[in-house]
Amino acid sequence: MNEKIEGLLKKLCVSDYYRPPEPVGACPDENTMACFCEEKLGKQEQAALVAHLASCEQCLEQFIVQLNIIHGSLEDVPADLLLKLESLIAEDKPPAFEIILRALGKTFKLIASSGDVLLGQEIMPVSVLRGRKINNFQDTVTILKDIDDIRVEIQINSKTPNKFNVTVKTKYKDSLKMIKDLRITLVKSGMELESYITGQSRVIFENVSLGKYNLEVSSQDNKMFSVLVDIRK
Amino acid sequence: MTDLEFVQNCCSHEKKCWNEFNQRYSRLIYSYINRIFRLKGVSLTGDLSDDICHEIFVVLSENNFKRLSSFKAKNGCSLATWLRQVTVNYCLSYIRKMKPLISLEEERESGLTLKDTLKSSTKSSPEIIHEKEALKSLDECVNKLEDKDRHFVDLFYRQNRTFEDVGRLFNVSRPSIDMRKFRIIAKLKDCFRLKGFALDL
Repeated sequence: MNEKIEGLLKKLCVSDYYRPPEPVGACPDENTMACFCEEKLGKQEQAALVAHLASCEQCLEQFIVQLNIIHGSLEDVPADLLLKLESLIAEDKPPAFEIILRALGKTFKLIASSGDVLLGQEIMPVSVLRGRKINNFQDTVTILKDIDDIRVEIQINSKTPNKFNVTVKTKYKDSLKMIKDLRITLVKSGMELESYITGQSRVIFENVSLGKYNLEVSSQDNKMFSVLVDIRK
Repeated sequence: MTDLEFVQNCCSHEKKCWNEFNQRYSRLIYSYINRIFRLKGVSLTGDLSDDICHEIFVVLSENNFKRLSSFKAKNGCSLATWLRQVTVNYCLSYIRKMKPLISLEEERESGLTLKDTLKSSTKSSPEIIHEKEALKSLDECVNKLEDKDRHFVDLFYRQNRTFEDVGRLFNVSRPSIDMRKFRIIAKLKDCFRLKGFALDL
């Protein structure tokens, strides 16, 4: 009995007279849509989203397709594609700053650093030191750098002509209090050599040889940044 | 480690973590892509599913992981569901771009437009005029419906959604959809009669 009017409705919907209803509210972001699919939205937000989906063809299509692809067996990813996906990011993010030194017996020549140098009680950018023609240091050089709210202080101390102690201090930038529970790891060519947790005081890596190292600073479960230390002959 | 912490680690450029992300989720995303294309009846020729999978991972990782870091684990929602949503959005947008659009007005080889071809040639002029008037009046009746009922009309008669799809959206059973549909049709028939049309409908 309703066939005629339903047929006419179908014709109407493809005719020039018909204007589809305007969508109710804005299209949801992916977080909200994912919550909706997992039935994790609050009542009010869910009602608003249902009203939107009923009026927005594109979002409804996304929802319907989602429901229809949940189940099924997993297909293997071709090995060459997996390699391509893995290579999308470079080995690791670049170091937050670097310290490049040349060891001259028990003294150092500072070649480059984007950190500042502690000279007596003064903190000076490397460029200023260079302007003053100061680039040779006795047996110790100390470099500082603020990274977000952390002040990192790295001291390199010459023990013997080819052996060094590398001391790391991490402090809160504002209060200059030591930060506890950070992990500092000395890495060479991707291999972890030594690793310590910061406590009340500094972390010291003793008898480090000439070479290129990364000092990786991590919180409990997150790598925060690294510092490149390159001591050349 | 929670999904959110895992994503944060990936976004801090940890290579090990990114490789683990690939191991955990590449099969899932790859399978979703194939299922979406099958569902939409679009064939994946050559290495298209590989290319689309690669593009999705590029989108997630580019600009310093901007897209991946937009995952918020809202209300405890899982990363797998969020990635499914991202994959669906990407693939549907891709399919929309793939489909060639045919203009209703563009003249084809026969000298006719698609609009001309679609016009019924079996009806006489008075019948056509009567149908136009009927459609205009029915449109006025549809516009008098409440918004939610207009949406319902649009879902069924323009978008051709199934009862199952509409039921899933409103989280209601088939009888309750039938009842709602019956009520809307009754309203439209009343309105249509008042306009002097089709008492035999």
